[in-house]
Amino acid sequence: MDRDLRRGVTISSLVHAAIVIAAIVALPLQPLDTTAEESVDVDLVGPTAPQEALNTGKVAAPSNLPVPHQGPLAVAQPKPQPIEAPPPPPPPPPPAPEQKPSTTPPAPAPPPPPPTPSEQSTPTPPPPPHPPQKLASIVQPPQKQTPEKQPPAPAKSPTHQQHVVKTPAPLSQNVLNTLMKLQALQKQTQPPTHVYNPDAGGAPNGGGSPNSTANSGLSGADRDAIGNHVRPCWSVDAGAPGLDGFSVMLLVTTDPSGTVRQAVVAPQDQDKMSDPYFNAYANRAIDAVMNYQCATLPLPSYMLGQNQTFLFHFTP
Amino acid sequence: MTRFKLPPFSRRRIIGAGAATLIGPSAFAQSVLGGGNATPAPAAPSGGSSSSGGSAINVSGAQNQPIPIAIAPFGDSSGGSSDTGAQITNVIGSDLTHSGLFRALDSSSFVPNSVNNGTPVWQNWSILGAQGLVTGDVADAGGGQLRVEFRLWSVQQQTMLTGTAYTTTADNWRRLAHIIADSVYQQMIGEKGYFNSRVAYISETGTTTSPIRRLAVMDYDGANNQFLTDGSSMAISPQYNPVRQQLAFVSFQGNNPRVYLFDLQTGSTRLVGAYGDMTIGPRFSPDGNSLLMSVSRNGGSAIVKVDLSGGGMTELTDYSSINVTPCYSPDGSQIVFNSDRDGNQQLFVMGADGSGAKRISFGPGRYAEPCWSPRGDLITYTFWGSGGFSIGVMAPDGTGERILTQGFLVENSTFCPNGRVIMFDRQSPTASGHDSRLVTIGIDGFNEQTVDTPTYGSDPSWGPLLA
Repeated sequence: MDRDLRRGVTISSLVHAAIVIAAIVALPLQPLDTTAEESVDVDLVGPTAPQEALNTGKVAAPSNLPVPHQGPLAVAQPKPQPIEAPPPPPPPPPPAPEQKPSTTPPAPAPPPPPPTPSEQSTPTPPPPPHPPQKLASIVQPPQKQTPEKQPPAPAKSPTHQQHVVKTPAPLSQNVLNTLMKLQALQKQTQPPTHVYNPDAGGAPNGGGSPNSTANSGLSGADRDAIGNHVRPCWSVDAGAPGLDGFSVMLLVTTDPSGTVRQAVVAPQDQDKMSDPYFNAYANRAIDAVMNYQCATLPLPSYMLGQNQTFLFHFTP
Repeated sequence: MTRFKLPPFSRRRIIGAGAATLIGPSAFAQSVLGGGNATPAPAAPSGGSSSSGGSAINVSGAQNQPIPIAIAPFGDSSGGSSDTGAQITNVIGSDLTHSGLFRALDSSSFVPNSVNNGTPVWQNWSILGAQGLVTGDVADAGGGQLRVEFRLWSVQQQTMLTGTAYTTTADNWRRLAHIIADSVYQQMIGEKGYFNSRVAYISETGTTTSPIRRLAVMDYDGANNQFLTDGSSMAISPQYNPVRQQLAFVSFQGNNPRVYLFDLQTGSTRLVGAYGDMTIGPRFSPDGNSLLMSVSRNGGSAIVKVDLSGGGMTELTDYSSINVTPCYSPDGSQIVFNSDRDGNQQLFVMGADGSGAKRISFGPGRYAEPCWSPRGDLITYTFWGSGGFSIGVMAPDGTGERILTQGFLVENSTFCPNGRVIMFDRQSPTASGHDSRLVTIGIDGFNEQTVDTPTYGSDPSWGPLLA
């Protein structure tokens, strides 16, 4: 019995020890998970497609760590970039056209002689492969490429002068500079969290109604003055049946000088136009506001200079 | 008896929206307002007139002024002058002015060549203050036919409102001018005009002691006068049938006053029954198939209805008082008449079957000769009191009574086909007795004008608008 008990205790101890060892081995995995989330933030570098950035972040999270070391990426975006900060020695003048592919990072890299130029005709240089590389770099931006924010491969001045690296302008307090700073502050720094969905309805006239008139810009005195100005030209047929119940709304458009150029019966009264008496009444209202003696409306000065549309209400 | 016949007529509409569209307000607005930058005719804010009226620019206190209208002289089709065109132009202007609702502009103020290839030069007309413009031309259609085109334009809106061409015999130009004036009237006022209509009346000649009274008919403006009887028997109280070319009148043939019918197409006459001691004051029903008149018997007179298709007579009132001069309402459901049943002459309204007579006049005087407006909203009458004779109007229920005109003797008022104008006769004292003239006046009491007749005239009855 003691022997069995001792064996049991031994087995139990071994098992517990194994569990402890296993726990120790598993612990280092935790911090890796946190670094995986950070990689999502790095993806925000893509400025134009925030939606895609979010998606790619989620999908790529588990594999972010191994990915940065993909072969082609390392070649396309070499780390030696920071080294470019010091002005490189002036390149030899002739190869200017071939300098264009500035993406070829290593500055000192004199174009290595293409391996197979001699086979056929020389006019086919190998620049075509570069664009695909760029695409690849965008699709898989490594989160550790922060130093890449440095200006990419400063173009070499034809005058061989170094570009200004830092200017005192940002420190200036002049108005233009202040405005630019404010603009920069107002830039959107977060991706929109909602996207307009036309299928979900919403406010169809959001952003201001195109049907509005300029009446709201007039004070009561302005409206009275305009009405008094038109009144001398406003006459009706006193013998028309039902005259006392007539009233018509007109939409009146003025030109920049405030002169009436168009007057139409407002939509809410259009259905009455089938009544010949009302039709005649409405036409006399239009004639009144378009009469050359009354057509130049006494608009406030701030309403001149552009076309305006006003709502008129004509009653006997 | 004279035979009166209306000449044949044809008309067709010539211009649709095409020409108007070329110079319509939209194109104008675009050019003036700067094309794409112009504010398009926007929709109004939602809601009804009342809700939108709060912020709207209110224009009220309208005046009652005639519409200024320019009537460009009608030339020939090549643009030259035309005598007939000038005559037509004058009649159109006279018609429109007669209504009191238009003011024809003086043609001497027109800028020459203000109509180019049929299209008005707008600024030349707007500067005159014209709201409407009538243009047209006259062409010989061959075979004694005349072809007249006219167009009505809105000067302010710079668009054509209507355009029509007519073809008729050359001697029918006057009627054609009336038709054009009616078209202008209808387009700008909203209801049919009254210019293409005729009036029956009594022509008066002779002396005061031995007058000669003949039945006559004329255009509403006094033109184309025709005498229908020779004056051997006195004729009075003519009435126009509202639906056919037929007159009813009272003839003293054989010194026995009776109601007769006169057919304007054939010139024939026939007696309408020999009821009572005499029959007077005929009035047609709105459908023209029956006649109301007064039958005198035993010192009293009753209003009776006679079916003109051969039916009998129906008494609508009794003979206990004097009941005369009945007149139907336009819908034929009521009759207004004159009666002394309450002591002196007053106006009463009863049902078409004679039931429910109700007095509607209560002024300090006597009322007579009521006539219901074709619009149904007014009754005109003759009133005489301490101030003399007057022509007045009131609502069918007796409210809104107002005097339109007064005089030594004014009576026998009748409405034009659209109810806007009243014609009556006005007698003035003269050295030899008194004369009698036909006069028109608007229902607003303005624009009184004397009708130019070849003789003195009385007892007018305005006929329907001719087809």
